[in-house]
Amino acid sequence: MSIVADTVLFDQLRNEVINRVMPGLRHKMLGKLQPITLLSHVLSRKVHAGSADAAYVQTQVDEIKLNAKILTNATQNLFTWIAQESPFQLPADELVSECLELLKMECYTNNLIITNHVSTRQMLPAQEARVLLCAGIILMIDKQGTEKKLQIRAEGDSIQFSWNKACAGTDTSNTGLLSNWDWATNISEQCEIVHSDVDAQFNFKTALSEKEDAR
Amino acid sequence: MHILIVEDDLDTREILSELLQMQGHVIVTASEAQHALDILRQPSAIDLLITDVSLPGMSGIELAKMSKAIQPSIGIMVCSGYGEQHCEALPFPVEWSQKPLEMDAFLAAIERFSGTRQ
Repeated sequence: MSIVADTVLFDQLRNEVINRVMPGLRHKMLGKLQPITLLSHVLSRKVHAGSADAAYVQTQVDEIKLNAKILTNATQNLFTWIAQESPFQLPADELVSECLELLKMECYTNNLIITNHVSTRQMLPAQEARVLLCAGIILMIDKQGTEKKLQIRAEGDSIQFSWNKACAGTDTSNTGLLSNWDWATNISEQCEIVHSDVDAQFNFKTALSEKEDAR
Repeated sequence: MHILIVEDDLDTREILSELLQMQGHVIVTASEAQHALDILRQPSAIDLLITDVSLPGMSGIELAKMSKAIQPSIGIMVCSGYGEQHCEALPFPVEWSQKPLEMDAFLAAIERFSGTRQ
């Protein structure tokens, strides 16, 4: 049973969002690889210089193994963005932080300052929340205003975006679904999206846990 | 050579620091841009700034611009898993390295820069 009301529309939006977060996904994955390449290079140099005793080598090897495990976990998590996975849940604070991390570079280059006040551990449907929240952030990133500020808050199953009035009503240069909020109406059974010129509210429902129990 | 490494990942920052110390350089580190700017405003001169692009609070590109304003003679090396296009808007030349760093090329670039300083 699909948790989205319009599967075709959701898949189109998901594709557009993945295209935008792909540089962030790549950066996050490569970032976890960097300590491994550095550790192995340092170890190699010390062994060749004869300045590495057995204890040092063991410590470095343990560090490499630990970082390889971190890389594996990060890679598996990031691939859930791309692969069609069964519904699963993540806490709201982790979901929002992850979306912001993946779009961080876009925020910098488009002068968008985001203040994240989300600390709730409320479990949300991950696949759907990732796409919908990122789509909302991307809409803000692409606004034409020069002084763009976005506040993100959460309460219960609801996540609220509010932005400064300087951005209200300004257009984006985008084409496609990410040019406006038209997709937000009826895209999801799991999340009701209410938006205006200066804010948007994503109201998630907790029915997913019941579906998970039924599986 | 005095090198300032600005990198928010602790493991990467520490190992990179150890590696460059092995090469005979004096290393100072910062985990975010504002701390790096505080270091650059102090009297001891930094020859080379090595910075990640993606940093908390301020991007490495902004940091590079502000560093040049504080110390015009400083060399800049930008390392990133993102593309090189972010460096194109800078009004001065920078050395760019793709992450994960290809270590031999990275160290060779630093030694080249060191050579121009002597």
